[in-house]
Amino acid sequence: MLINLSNIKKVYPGSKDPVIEGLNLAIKEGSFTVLLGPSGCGKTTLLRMIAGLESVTGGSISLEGENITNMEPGDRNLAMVFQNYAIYPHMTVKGNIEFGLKNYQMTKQQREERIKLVMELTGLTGFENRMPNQLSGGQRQRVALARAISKSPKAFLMDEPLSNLDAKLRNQMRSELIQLYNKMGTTFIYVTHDQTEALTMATDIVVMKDGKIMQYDTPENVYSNPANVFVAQFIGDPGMDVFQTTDDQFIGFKPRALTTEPVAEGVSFDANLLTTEYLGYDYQMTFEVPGKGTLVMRNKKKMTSGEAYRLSVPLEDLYYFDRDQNRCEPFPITGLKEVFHADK
Amino acid sequence: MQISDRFEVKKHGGFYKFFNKLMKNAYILIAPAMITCLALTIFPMCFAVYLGFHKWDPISGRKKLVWFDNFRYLFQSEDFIKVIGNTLLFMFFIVFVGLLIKLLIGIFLNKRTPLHNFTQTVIFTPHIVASVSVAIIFMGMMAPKSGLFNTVLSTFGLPTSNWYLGADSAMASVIMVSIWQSTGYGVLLIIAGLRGIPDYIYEAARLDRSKPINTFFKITIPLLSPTLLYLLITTVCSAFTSFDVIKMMTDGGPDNATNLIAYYVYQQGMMFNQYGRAMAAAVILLIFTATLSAINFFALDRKVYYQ
Repeated sequence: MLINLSNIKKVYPGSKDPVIEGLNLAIKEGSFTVLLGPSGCGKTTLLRMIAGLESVTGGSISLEGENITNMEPGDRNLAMVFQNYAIYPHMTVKGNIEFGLKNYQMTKQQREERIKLVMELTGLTGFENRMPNQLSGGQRQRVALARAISKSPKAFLMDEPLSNLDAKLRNQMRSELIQLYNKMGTTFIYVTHDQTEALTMATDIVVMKDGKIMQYDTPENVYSNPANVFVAQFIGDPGMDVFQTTDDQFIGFKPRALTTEPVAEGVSFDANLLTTEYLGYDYQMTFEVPGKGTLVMRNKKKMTSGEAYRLSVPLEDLYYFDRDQNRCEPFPITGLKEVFHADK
Repeated sequence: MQISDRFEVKKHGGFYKFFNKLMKNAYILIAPAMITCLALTIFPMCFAVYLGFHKWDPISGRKKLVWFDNFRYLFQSEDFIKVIGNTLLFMFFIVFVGLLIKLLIGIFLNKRTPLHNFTQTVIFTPHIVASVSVAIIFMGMMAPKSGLFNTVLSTFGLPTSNWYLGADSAMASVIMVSIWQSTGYGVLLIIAGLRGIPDYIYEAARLDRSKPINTFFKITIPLLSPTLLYLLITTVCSAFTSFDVIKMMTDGGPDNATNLIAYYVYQQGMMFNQYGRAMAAAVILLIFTATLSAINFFALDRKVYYQ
């Protein structure tokens, strides 16, 4: 284990309610661990506590077995890439990287070598003397990355580093980050609310909600084997449709598992089609299940709005959750009470 | 894109560059500002230069061209040389010591607690009080026998001073009052400048293992430089043209110890009726301020970082 968080508690000054309480997490060495969750779930706070930018109210953080809970951020051997890059606006690209290296007591020659190396690695060669305001968003992001890499830290901490880029550039930078991770093999701890980023980049995903870890697993398992209703509805685009049964348990299914064909074994119900949205690869349909709520279906076939359909889900595509909304063994389904939505 | 790029005005050059159909509307639109500026700034300035070359008696209305006689008189006068020395000394303290004090107080007050906010407001008040009132208050406090300053000093057994009445202490007293009055405004600007520096820059510096002193000189000062340059230029100008505190407290005395150029101009013109000499001194003052502002602006502008 590289980083161990044990029994972490965080209460912001002037507030009574803890943002995080009793959190335990072990981050594997060499992993690309993504902290994923809706805004306000405490993921950024957690990252900033690891970085040392936020004090820890209770519990301890250790790095390679050493207790770093109260250590200065600069002494932790961690590098951070901020959401808004946080590059020094009055320094050149080279100056930005060199500033930290000087504080690390490197000789001029060592600094020059290191700078040359990271400039090549991030594709910034030739931009050494540019000022940040002469750079595009993507280039600034690279400067922030170069600055982080130059310190050869034990882990990279990234706080939504791609959220300020436009969609096309974001995809490109995502792929470059994966390449960078593969090249360096250093541990990455990456905060995002974007599940696509999490699923595409991570080796491990920590799904968080209200300061608690809902699931800590591989991307595949988080997607196909959600541990509870929250993860089931949060992961996937769109998330699962979940029905509450008459005995207050839950069944869920992926919107792509819904079909208009009759199934041999499964659940079926009548629904009215409200809207059809064309998404390029397929269509997204929103249905109203009379008296029970709305649900979402994904299908390649276009369906006409305003009509009634009989929808079915095959038995093998059903997920079962107990009364506490945790995943459980299959149980006999006793009627469908209401559609239980993520946004409710 | 510049207008000239779009309309290929460059081809014509010369007169046409400034006077063409496109520019006509622009001139009409800036005319009110231009006329005001001409009437209230450019004309008086030119008139001062014109008068500097004359011997002028406004009562009889007689005016005689004397070329450089006024300037020659000034540079041969020991008083005027002393006045220039005083002005430079005064400016040095107001600008450098004053700026340092403003910076230190600004950094100290840049916290968001109710007490800090209250202090920020309080410290600004001297700026909105008339200089005359400020001078009178300080004259009261600096009165050698009954003033607050000497009372406090003697209570602690410390040596007292004649303050603005003593030849040795008058300049220091005037400088003190001027710095005191301008501090609040500068502090306010510096706090605004400091608040403009985002927290994440400091967080990045902490992660870069930068010590607080290093962060101050390498991050805070450069990012505060536009504010500091503005304060430097305005303080230099206000130091050179400082008048009201001098007029109230010392009348330039004792023995010209606190006589500054602006006051000297007033003395020559209004008291001695030597309008030509007064205007010549004013022209020298103008050259001083203009040169120093230009040096500040061009020399420092390159080192100032504008976001």
